[in-house]
Amino acid sequence: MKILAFDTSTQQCSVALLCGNEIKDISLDAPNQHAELLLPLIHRLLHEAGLSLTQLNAIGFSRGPGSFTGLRIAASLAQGLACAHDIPVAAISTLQMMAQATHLTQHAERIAVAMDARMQQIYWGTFAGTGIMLPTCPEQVLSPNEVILAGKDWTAVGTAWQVYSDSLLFLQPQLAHIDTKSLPQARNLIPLAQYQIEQKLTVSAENALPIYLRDKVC
Amino acid sequence: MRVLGIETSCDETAVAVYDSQHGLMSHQLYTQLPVHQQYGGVVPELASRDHIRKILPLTRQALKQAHSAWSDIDGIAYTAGPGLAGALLVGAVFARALGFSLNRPTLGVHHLEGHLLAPFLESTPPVPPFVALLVSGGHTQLFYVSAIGHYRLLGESLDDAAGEAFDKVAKMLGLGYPGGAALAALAEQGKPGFFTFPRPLIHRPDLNFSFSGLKTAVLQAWKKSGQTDQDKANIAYAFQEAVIDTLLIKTEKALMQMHSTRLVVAGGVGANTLLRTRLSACLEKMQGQVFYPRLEFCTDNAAMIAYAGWHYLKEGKQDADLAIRVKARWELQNG
Repeated sequence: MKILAFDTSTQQCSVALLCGNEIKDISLDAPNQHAELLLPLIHRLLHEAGLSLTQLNAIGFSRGPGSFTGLRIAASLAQGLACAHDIPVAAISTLQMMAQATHLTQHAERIAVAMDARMQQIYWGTFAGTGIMLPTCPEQVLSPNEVILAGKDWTAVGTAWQVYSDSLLFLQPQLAHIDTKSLPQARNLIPLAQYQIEQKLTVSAENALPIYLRDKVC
Repeated sequence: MRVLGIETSCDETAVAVYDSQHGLMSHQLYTQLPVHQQYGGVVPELASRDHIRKILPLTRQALKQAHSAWSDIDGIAYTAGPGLAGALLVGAVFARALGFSLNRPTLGVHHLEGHLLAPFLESTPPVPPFVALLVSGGHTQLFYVSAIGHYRLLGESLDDAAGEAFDKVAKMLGLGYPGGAALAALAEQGKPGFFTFPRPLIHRPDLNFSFSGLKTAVLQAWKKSGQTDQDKANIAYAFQEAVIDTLLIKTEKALMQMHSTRLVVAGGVGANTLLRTRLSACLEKMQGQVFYPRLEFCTDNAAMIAYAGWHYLKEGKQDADLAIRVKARWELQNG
């Protein structure tokens, strides 16, 4: 299977390529440079693997939540790369990518992801599973004190657990572990894109669109 | 050579196909006006959100209208600036990614150069050198164009653009947003002799404009008036006269300074009927010629971007590397 994946939802610019069983990836800390970096990085990975776009089974991108401009850069790139060759697109949740990463490295099976959404709000999603982390509730943008979490032994992931640690303190008894450092990485998109291919959940280029969660912007 | 043009610099999403042999083969435009109208101005985040929903469906429509397949496209031109950064990025990233996937050259085009070249899409295109008056909601500029690609800025507005002044005065008179065209229509009901507004900077030798003082004068006149419908129409009449007189005087001055008798008019205000009538009369008197784009290409469109891009792409000019760059601010002046 061959999948190209990229994430520009945070200040990181991250690109990954699955070719056979091997994932090659590059992640750079690059605030405001995503548009400049993406195509050269993609070109490099494809070139090193001796692949052309038309050989890809799918293109995966993180559809949000995250930086609005970053999400649109990834979505318009996915649209432009996929449309002419009808390459299927896997639009992947940023929160799910982070849950998947934690699942792979820490074998956690219940993961609560909270990313700082600014304006005293967080992007919130909970995931569970073995192998593939699937959502257990709809993702939402809300105030930290509006969070509702049922059950115990959750692994907490995302920057918001640190930024809003005071407001989220009430959830402490339900948490087994907290990881506030991790950011979305394109390589974690790949197993989720594979899952979408298997489940026939990929979309056409037209539907490679961001999901902002925050829809009230003025 | 067949070029796909993409424009997303403000609140219109547009895609067009221009071909060396067939000329303009298609042009598609989606205006976001209803989205922004309720806010009384363009909301950049909402503009970007709309662009990304519309860009690909419009591209498919433009190709269909041009009876073209993806593989028929030889190059892609997109607006790289100036404009709203987030809005520009959607078109630029899409265009660059498409060029990468089709293995075709791409080129970032200056939005204002697109406007200046819009009259070249007509059956009798202008021949450089000429003077160009670019007059829109964002710009009021006079250029000397010695050849395509060689633009010398002769003068520009020091504050509000002419179109901006039209829209602001329209708002003051309760004509909604953007009300420039409504104001011009209302002016036709107005009568001369009731109000007079200043013609800013006309006695100065330079070719600069200033329209911000004009709207203050209009506001004061409106407050002092009886505020009847006829007063409103009379004010609209006098305001339009003042703006168009000013544009006319400075344009005439520019033509004389440059010893030119050819004028190109571009930009949204270039659709104003009175402006066209007065400029045409002026150039006729000088035994010169004036060139306008068709009305629909006065405002933002992708046909002008496809044309401007085609002009350079056919000469082998293209984006130098794979880095995607847009410029929210970008001066058009290169001799």
